Amino acid sequence: MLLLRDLCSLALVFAGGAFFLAGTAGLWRFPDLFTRLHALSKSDNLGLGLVVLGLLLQAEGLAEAIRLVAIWLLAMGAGSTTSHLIAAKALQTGERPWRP
Amino acid sequence: MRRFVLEGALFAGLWAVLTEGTPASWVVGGPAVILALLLSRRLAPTGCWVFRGLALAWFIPWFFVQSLRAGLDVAGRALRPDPRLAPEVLDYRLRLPPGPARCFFMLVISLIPGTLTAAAIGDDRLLVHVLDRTQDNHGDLRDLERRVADVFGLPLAEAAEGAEGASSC
Repeated sequence: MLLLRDLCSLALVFAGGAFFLAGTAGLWRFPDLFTRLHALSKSDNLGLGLVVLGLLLQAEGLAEAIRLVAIWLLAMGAGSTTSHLIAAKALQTGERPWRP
Repeated sequence: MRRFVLEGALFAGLWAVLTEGTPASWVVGGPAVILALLLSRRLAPTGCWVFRGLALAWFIPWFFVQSLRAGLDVAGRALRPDPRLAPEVLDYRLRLPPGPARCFFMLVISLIPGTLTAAAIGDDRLLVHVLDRTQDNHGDLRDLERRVADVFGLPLAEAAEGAEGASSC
């Protein structure tokens, strides 16, 4: 039972890490600022969510669980807000979105 | 005043949770809470963050599924030889009134598949950058807006009329 829980944690944390890596690949490969923001905001949200889920399985007590979820919510809000601000500033200063 | 106390309690509570209530941490935490309160007075939209419990309970699992779809979508494109990107900027007419609900809507837009808020224009328009214009992004936005309206218990104005008062964010 304990082993199963540890395995689930491991799988979730690794899956989360994989999404962080994929987001970084997007940052590398996508053609302009806007598409790169897409890559970062979405994959980081999911990546961190999976890591938090994996750690929740190991949490000792409610306080720790709440702390983990709070970290996820704060990072999600901050990530989305920053993406918006960067995109808004880029549009304002005349950055043209890439078109194929 | 009531808002001030509620927000203070929220920020202090958040600090206590994040630092596991370590007493010494309040040397930093106290000023941080006061700073956050001042910033919030300047930046946050006026109006109440009132959620309808049932609608929120319905929204959360839906949001989890969207987060998963968004992450898979973008990760797939990032790793495929051909990412198949076809971006464009949508001019979206907002139906939600200015205030917290609209802010929340804008926050979530960037976390669901294929959309990213790029700018708020005037009272009722939003520029949304989309990854793939062959998808029904406009429909997705309308669907999300309806869900957010449900969570906040707000009606949606079909043609946004008389936007007054509160600032958007």
